[in-house]
Amino acid sequence: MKSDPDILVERLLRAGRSARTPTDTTEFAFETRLMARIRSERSGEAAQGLLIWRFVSSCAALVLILGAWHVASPVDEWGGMVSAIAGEPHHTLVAEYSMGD
Amino acid sequence: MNESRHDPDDKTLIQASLAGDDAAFATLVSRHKGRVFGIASRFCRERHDLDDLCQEIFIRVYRKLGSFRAEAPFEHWVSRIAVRACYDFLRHAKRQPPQIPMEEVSAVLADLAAERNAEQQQVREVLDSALGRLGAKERLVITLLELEDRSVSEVAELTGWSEVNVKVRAFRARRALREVLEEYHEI
Repeated sequence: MKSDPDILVERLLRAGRSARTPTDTTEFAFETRLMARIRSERSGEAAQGLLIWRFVSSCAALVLILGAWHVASPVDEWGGMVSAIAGEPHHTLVAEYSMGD
Repeated sequence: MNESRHDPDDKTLIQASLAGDDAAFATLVSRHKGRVFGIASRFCRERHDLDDLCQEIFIRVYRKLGSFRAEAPFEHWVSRIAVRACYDFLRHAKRQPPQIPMEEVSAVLADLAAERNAEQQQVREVLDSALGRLGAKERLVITLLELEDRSVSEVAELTGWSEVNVKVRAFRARRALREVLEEYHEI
């Protein structure tokens, strides 16, 4: 004869209420482990922040240097470079490119 | 030496923790870890996972400490964080429910059917295996309502669900658990 499943559910849950998993050994020195993890995460975040800050400041310095170089250099430098490479004036190249030739 | 010592209250410890006093936070952890372990151990039995889960809960507490408004007692606030972390643990746990020998399941179910006292360790294993086959929401609601013996309104507060939702999910969870037990009984 099978028991009523609803009654079994009720009895299993009732038995489960008092059947707790002992946690004493896991709780032992828990604070020490937790605080070590918090400190390590905190120092990791600080190191990451420092790296990001260094990267951002390097990029900013590079942008400033390039900007200063651009302002100080002659206006047609790029055109001159293209002409030197192609062997003809760069505006001809651009015109041919835009005409699809 | 008969000096009386007053333990600082939670509010004082929270303020000290926010000011960067790690020892104050460790005292808070020490004071509330029993409650947190009690909740978490209902959802996770492996010692290593349980330790990780409880650490995750207290790290969330540490990070959110500044948002604690003292409108409810600190332990309620911690319990809420614990329940939500347990729910996340259940959702992301990619493990199969624990496999237990069918003789053990049969022995426990026979004891329960005959109203005999079943061995606690075996009850835990059978219950864990059966609950492991439910969805995260169902497992959460039935654990809080039936195993932790909390009221519907408490569960609603802890989970952030409406009371109607809690009742509906509890109904579905019981039905699912009954189906699992029926299946066990047929094997």
